[in-house]
Amino acid sequence: MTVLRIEDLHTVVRSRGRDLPVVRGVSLDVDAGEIVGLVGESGSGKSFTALSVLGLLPEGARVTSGRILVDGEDLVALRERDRRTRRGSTVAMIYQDPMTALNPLMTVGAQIAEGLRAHGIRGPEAKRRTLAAIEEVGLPKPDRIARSYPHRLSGGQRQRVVIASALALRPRVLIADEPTTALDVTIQQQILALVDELRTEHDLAVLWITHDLGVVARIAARVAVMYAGRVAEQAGTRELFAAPQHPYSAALLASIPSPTDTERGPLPQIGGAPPDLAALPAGCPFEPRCAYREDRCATGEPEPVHRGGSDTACFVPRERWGVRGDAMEEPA
Amino acid sequence: MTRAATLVAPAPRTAGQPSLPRRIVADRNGLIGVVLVGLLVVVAVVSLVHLGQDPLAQNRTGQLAGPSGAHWLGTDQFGRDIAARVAAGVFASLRVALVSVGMATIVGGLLGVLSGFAGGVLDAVVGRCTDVLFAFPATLLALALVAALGHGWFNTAIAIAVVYTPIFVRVARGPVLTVRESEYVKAGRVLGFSRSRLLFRHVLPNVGAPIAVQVALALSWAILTEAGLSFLGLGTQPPSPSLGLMVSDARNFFPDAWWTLLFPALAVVVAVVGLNMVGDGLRNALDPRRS
Amino acid sequence: MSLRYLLGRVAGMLGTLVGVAVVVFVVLRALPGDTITAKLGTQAATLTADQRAALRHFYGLDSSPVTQFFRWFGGLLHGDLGVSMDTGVPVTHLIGDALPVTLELAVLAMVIAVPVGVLFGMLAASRPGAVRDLSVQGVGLLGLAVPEFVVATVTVAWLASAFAYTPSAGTYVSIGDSFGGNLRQMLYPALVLAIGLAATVMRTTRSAYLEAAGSDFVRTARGKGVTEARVRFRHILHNAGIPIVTMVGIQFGYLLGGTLVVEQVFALPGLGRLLLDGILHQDYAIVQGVTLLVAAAFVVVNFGVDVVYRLLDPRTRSEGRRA
Ligand SMILES: Nc1ncnc2c1ncn2[C@@H]1O[C@H](COP(=O)(O)OP(=O)(O)O)[C@@H](O)[C@H]1O
Ligand SMILES: [Mg+2]
Repeated sequence: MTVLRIEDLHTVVRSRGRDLPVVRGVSLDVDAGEIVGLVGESGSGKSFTALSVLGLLPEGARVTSGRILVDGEDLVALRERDRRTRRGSTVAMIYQDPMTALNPLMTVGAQIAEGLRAHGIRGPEAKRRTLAAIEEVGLPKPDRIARSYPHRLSGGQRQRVVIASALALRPRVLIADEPTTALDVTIQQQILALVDELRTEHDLAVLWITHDLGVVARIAARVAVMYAGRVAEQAGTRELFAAPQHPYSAALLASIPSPTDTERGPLPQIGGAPPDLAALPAGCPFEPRCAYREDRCATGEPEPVHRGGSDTACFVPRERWGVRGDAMEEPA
Repeated sequence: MTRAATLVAPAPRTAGQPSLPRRIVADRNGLIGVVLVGLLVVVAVVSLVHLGQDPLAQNRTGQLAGPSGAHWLGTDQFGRDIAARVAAGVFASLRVALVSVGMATIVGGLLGVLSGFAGGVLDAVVGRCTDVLFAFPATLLALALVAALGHGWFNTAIAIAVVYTPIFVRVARGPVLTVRESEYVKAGRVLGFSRSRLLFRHVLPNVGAPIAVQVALALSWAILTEAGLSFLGLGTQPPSPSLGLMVSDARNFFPDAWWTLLFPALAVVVAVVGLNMVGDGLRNALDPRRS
Repeated sequence: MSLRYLLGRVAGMLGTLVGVAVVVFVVLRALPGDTITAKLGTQAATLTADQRAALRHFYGLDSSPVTQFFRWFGGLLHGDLGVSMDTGVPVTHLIGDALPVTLELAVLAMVIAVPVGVLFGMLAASRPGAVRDLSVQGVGLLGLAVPEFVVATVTVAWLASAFAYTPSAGTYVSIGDSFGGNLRQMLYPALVLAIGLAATVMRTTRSAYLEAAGSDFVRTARGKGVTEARVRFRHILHNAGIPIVTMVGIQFGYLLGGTLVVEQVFALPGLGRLLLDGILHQDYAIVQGVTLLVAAAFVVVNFGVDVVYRLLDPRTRSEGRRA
């Protein structure tokens, strides 16, 4: 059952007097109990997509068109007041840097309880559920943790607190914006396992944002690859890793070590740079960097087509990629 | 040697950008500030060459006359021309401000750079002394010094300089410490470059920016303080024109002879606003993160 | 906050206080030259050598400067600030009368300025670059740029023409005599002081608020569905509060030495007036005493601010910190 459905989302940000298109027609579905990975280079619009769902875009940014449906209700159409009541209770988010995601002047317990109180849960009930939420994320001695200030906790513990706070109200959708990037490898694995476990337990729809395909391979059933504000390719994880249908996905895959390798290398490196949002090319935004480009790639922007088990926004089928491409996608 | 040259690259400065004055003027606040301060400097220079009226010339028949063709900004209780007196007062203010801030910048800046760069005993002593001077509220310290030194514009300038010296020590010392600990200076030390070369090539270029911002703010504080001291009768002495004294005199004729108070007060406000805006412009021009 | 930290800070503060005493002694005792000449002016020339020596001995000026300093400093430790040469009244008595006036003025000004400054700072920061921000900032800059003596002068002139009220030292009513009468005298000078203060508080609030508003934890709070009002006060303002409290404390310290102009214009018998009279009459015992007291108060206030700062922030409040 589809819980989160993003339909043709367009988000812009005002910069130097003009609107830059950051998200340009993203469509995505996440089912209950499913984890969908959202990957792409830094700046491709992943966080803006997530913040559009939460309704927490920064000053100057706004959704210009599209729908964001959660259990059939369009969040974009809601008034700000109703929007607020959906945050935390219907959609929740966890963030990249657990060191800065918590208020240093409030105890952990107060910060979790605050979310409950914002949705009408008060008194002893709020306290009980705060402790339960802390316990659920596997932290020992919940009452002691609840009384601690964030600086007393380690990065992994803080991320668990952020997760506890996000899930305290049993939301339907959890958006995780690179929640393991700032953590070291063992803690990363623990957090992955925790979210995976909570997902099954609560039948959560999870959108997991990362630029790390290794993480995606481990946790996500399906993957959407973003490039310059669009979804370049969307496919089952297995299908994508076996046979990427978009040259950008192929290049991303080629730039990581084996997905079972726990040592993370440097961020994926592909020659060239993503396009300037203020001066997007007329054709496919990946065309200038693409190894398999054809003439028409420079003139028209490809719409997604279903091909080889995935939806890919590319004119050039894999079969035409030629010898050079085969070498690129060979796993290391 | 090429290796050494890359290790000890010149202090990182934003290359290929327009010059600093240009960037200040490009900032809206900076531009307004430069225009306001420029206006006052012109007024002060004009007062030097005594175009028009003598600021000291009394006139028994035209006392407390409102603005007119003969006296653009009116006359005071002795029939003296307010415009000429404001211009001369602006000159006196700027003189005290420039001399005091100049002294404070040179002495404080040098002490800060040297103590930060040398460290050790010198740094400890200078640090302790600045701490003690910081223990006085600024206005109080200026007052105490004026009380000790006596009246007159130069003593006022010295008092203000003493108040501001520790501020420049701190402003200069901070970046010196950062630069001293940075890789390129450490590498330069390892390579045996002389201290003076490191100081002049790598340290000084980095302290210029924060000092420049502080100079603008110090000038505005100096103008306010000079005016305040003169208002209290502790700075410039009559009959020399001074903006603070003019306001003090105007007390007895306000609000009827409003021009006696408005114009000198306005001159102070324009100077302070202008210098603050120049400071803002400098800060924005020097800090690429703000824009 | 550890005891060790506290002791270290107290020791540092005592060191600074001694330094302050040295500076006051050097500036106000050594620099002005011969106190007797200063005191008696042209009459000093008519003194015989014996009279002069007797006077020098009386004022302790015949011993070495170092001895003089220790004698003076020893007196300080016993609460002896010397005697006014003009009136023969102990300086501590004069200060005792003047201090409450200045303190009341400072507290009143703070009580007016802080809420105004904080609210307008928040208003400006709520939409950086918008009309409300630019107007608040513009008014704030004017508040800092229009000298206190101008505002005070205009206010007094206005009071005189509107209420036929002219402040005079003779009619000062203390808070003990009449609360209302006292407040009537203190309100306007406090308002004049509050203008510059509010502008400073506003600027600090604005930048601290903007800085805190950009923090990740603010987004986390919004992500939980917390109301905007609560996000603003409980999260942003609370975090911005630390620099604001620090600045307000420091401003209060400044204020103790910065009421001079206002006391002068409004004829209030506070520390500023005492100091100004001391300077004008070259009564150095008064100048020394007041300067020393205000500087010491400033040091102590700053110390208090530092302690409060540490108490407000759990990151510095707790004992052992983990790595
Ligand atoms: N205020 C702004 N002005 C101009 N460009 C912006 C602004 N805010 C964000 N952007 C642009 O929008 C994009 C944001 O992408 P984001 O969603 O944060 O990327 P990701 O999370 O994939 O790294 C970036 O390319 C960034 O340059
Ligand atoms: Mg991101």
